[in-house]
Amino acid sequence: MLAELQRAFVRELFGDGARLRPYRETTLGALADALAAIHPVCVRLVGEDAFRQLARRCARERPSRSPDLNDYGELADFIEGFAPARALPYLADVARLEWALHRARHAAPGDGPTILVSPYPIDRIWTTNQPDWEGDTEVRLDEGGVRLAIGRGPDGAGFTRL
Amino acid sequence: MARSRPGSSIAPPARCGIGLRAPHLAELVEGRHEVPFLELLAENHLQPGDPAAAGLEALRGRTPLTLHSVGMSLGSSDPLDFAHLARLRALAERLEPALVSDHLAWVSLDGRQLHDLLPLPLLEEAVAHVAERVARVQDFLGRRIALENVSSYARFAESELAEWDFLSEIAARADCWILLDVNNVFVSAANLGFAAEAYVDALPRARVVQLHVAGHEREAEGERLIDSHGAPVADPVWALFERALARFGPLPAVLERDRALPPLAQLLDEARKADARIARAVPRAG
Repeated sequence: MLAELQRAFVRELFGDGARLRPYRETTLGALADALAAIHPVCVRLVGEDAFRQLARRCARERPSRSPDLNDYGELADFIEGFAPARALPYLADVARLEWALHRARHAAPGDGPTILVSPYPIDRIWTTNQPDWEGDTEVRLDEGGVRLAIGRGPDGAGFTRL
Repeated sequence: MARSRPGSSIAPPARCGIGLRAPHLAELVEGRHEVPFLELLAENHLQPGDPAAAGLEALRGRTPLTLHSVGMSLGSSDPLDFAHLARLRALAERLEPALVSDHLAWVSLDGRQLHDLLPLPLLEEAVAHVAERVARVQDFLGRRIALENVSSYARFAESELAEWDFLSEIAARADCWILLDVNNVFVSAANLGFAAEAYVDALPRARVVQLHVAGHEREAEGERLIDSHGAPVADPVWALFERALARFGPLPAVLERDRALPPLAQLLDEARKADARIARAVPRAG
């Protein structure tokens, strides 16, 4: 009986009724907050409200499978299937870069770098969208693709163009 | 049966500690503040390259630590996640916390992690289920754990027990401790319509080893109270805190704050309000 009651509870939690709304808000909110914290550049590129909608949809459709919330947050594949994001074809690869940086921040010291290949200059998109960036903000999407190595060095997580 | 282990060489004093939050870590490591003890959220520190690891290593040994988990899913009908429990055990072996705790709740089902402390149907079946799981977790960790009551926003129509009897019976059968969160009692009592005082008065004295206190807020659309940890402790929750101290004697307590996190000094000021109340509590006989 316990399993049946818990399954019915989860179905109602992901419905739209008011009774379990506080649980829905915490569950979807925790995952959406995690996605926003991992992807600050994506938040900036699409805007906070649009990112929130995207993140909550991802939270519903792509459940967390680890009790450790630091393991959650892979957003790129979801973005590729999300119609409203098609106007920003580079967004998924920017998300891949931010996810790789998040994983590098939590990786064991000495772990090797992750290699990321993109047809877009995602490193420049990332750099010009940092809050403290004061240079030119124009990035031409046709300026060429990149091959990046993302890892953790003495100064924290970062990437280099190969 | 579960063994009781002294754990850390320094146990938390009967004072009010705070939950460690990442923005406060560097200032805590500097050591300018006197902090009775720190409660670590276990799931924040399980990654192989935990960014807080160096800070925790610096704090360990000079500030007593307790370890608070939200991931054991003790009330779930899923099998226990021993891979996760192994990570918790390794963290406990590294940090030697004076106490390990988790919640009387479930956070996962069919492999899906909900990352929220979901309420149980208060049934005899659930008593047996949770007690057996707590006992197995204690055997695996090699130490007794404390089980914390959670805030509820809804109840199962099928429930047949009062929550204080449900918790007390599980603690007795599992031979575990109880971590009493008086804010959660207050929030649940307001939302479900029972007397908060009755909850505190019904728990077995010998099992309650630590208190939690925190702030709550009213939900944006509706009348329920939400355990947001986003506001100062409310006056009626302080009254319930005093009632718990009168019943259980001076115990270690933790002030929990997550949302709208104030500067460390301000949070410690609020913890001192709890300290003053603990200091006035009369030790219970026996």
